[in-house]
Amino acid sequence: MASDGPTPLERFINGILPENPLYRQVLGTCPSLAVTGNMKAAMTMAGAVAFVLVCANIMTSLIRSFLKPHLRILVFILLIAAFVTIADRFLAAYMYEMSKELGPYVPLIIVNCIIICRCEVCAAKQGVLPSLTDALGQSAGYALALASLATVRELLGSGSWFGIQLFWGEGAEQYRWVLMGQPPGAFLTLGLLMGLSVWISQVWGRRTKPRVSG
Amino acid sequence: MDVISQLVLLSVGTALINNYVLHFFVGMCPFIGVSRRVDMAFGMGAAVTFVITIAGILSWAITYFILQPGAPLTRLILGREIDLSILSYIAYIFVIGACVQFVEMYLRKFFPSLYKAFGVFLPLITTNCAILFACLEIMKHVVGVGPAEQWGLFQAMGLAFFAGIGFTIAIVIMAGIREELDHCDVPGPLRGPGITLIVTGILALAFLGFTGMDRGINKRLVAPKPAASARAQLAAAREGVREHGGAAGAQGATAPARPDLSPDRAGRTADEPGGPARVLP
Amino acid sequence: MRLVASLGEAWLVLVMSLVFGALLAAVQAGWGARIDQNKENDARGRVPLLVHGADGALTPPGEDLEVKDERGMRLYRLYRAMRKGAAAPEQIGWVLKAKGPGYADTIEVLIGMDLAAERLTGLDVLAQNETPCLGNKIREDPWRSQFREKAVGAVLSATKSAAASANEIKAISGATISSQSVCDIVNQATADFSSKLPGLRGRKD
Repeated sequence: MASDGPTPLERFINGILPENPLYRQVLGTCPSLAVTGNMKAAMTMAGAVAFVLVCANIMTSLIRSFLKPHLRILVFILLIAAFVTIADRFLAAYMYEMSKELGPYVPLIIVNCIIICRCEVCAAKQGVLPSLTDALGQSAGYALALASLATVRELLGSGSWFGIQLFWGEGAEQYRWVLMGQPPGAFLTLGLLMGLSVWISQVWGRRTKPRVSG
Repeated sequence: MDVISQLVLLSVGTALINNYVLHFFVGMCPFIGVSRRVDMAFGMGAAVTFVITIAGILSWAITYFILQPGAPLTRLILGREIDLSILSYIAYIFVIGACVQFVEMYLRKFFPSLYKAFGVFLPLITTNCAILFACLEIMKHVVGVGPAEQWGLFQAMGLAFFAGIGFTIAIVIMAGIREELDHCDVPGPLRGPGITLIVTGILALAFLGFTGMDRGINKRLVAPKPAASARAQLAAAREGVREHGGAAGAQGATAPARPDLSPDRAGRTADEPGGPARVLP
Repeated sequence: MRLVASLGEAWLVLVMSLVFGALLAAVQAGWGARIDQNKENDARGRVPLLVHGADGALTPPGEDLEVKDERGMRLYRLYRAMRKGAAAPEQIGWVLKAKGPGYADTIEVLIGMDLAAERLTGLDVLAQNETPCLGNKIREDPWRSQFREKAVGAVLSATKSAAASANEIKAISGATISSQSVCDIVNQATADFSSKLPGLRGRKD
């Protein structure tokens, strides 16, 4: 049973870079462009996605033997929608300012392709532990992707990181790249970072190839 | 005039200024995935517009009649007011799923060639963020808003329809650009999603030019009427004061209020039309 | 028979709907009151900061006033800023919630005035969707503090250069329209109320 497919630990590591949900699988682009204006919002969103992904994966793998083929997607969506509602209400109750800033993008986690994809591909077929590590790995990878995007946008756009002002003075006020806080900057940043990630993986592949081939 | 001006503002605002793809970042998955050829893009845009309009109407109806606090149907059935808005997200996603199912069945029966051309992208419309986003916008204007400011069916339908139109505009433009991009020499790492996103960024920059159009349209269509609004606010202030006071207070309130209000009225009519404020003596 | 068969297929969905329905009802019961409180406090919590000498003033919910137009649409909401007095809470100022069009979307502000409604005592921005890093700066304190000690009834305008006269506010560089929009909202609100407030001051609710 343990020999088919990657081990739980490998699943966890896979989710971070090799199968990164944003850069490799190009899933979940909607919220990653919307909330990465600053680090705080990005990390809150990453936390919410992690919560929903872990809960949905665990529940799906617990009920996987009862899933009928044509009602599968319905069950996934019901699960995910319930957990997203809980996450959204939690934010509204305990982090009201952040809830206002994230706005409608927290409910949009329901249609975030990452979660449905993971439930379908992994949790519906594996036990609880592999599903859990897979969810944790994908969440970590997504958080990393959001952090990279938000760092670039916040540093260039407002000269701060996590709200802490890093560049100050008259020059910093004038030479801020304001476009980074707006939609065009988001698209440009993600496009360039995606190109960067592809290039890194190509270079990595070239470097490790001679060692693999015998 | 009021209805027409509302419609114009809504259409321009939703389709161009706050374009769902280029401003709100929703609907990105089909935008990146389907925008390779103009005819496919137009078909996808039309399908999304159709689904989003129906889903918008249905979710408005469900929110207005069942889910909002103090909804009419629940009051009728249960006899008391109850707040079911926590079930909103589940209700919306089920409505969207059902709509997509019906569209699928309809296309398979009456337009089989189109159904085959769409392939796997048709059921994927369920996970299109744009449709759920439109439902959430409608919810924002129905739940927790006073009865005079609540959106009716007309506004909800207008928002949903023009959101779909905006999505179609964006995706068709993108498809046209990508058809040309196929002949360009794109650097290796950027091929595929990378260059698509960069071009989308430039397109978003172009659409930024629409900002502020609604203020201009507002100024032309909704002309200010100083005399009428002053009278309205006088009456309303009296009403507002009377509402929150006891019976004894109400009698007393109108007396001191009147001397205050006459210099106000004189000041208003002497004002030039269109000026929002004046310096009081 | 068909019905029983489809029920047999769908039993999982029905069970899960019941379970999650109960879970969400529990969430609503547990956190619902807190969320409503958050929404209410969003505006009310800022009221004491906008008047002088508030020192933890209370603004009891029943003391709010509303002004509506002929269609019943709420134009303004008026809060009384109170201070814990020796015997009973005494009123020390007014705070007006107003909104108007900004550069991108509607801007909602809280305008603080002293008891006689002669001077502005503060400005706070509740909701705005202005351009990030540019028009967004209307939320920040240095810009908002320019509104303190302005005369109520003066027509304020935003200028690109430094504020010369008492009726001028220095606009945020690159966000002139957002700055002017806030000035317009303040002008309209104070014009509507500056003559009516003293008449309301002595009223008991």
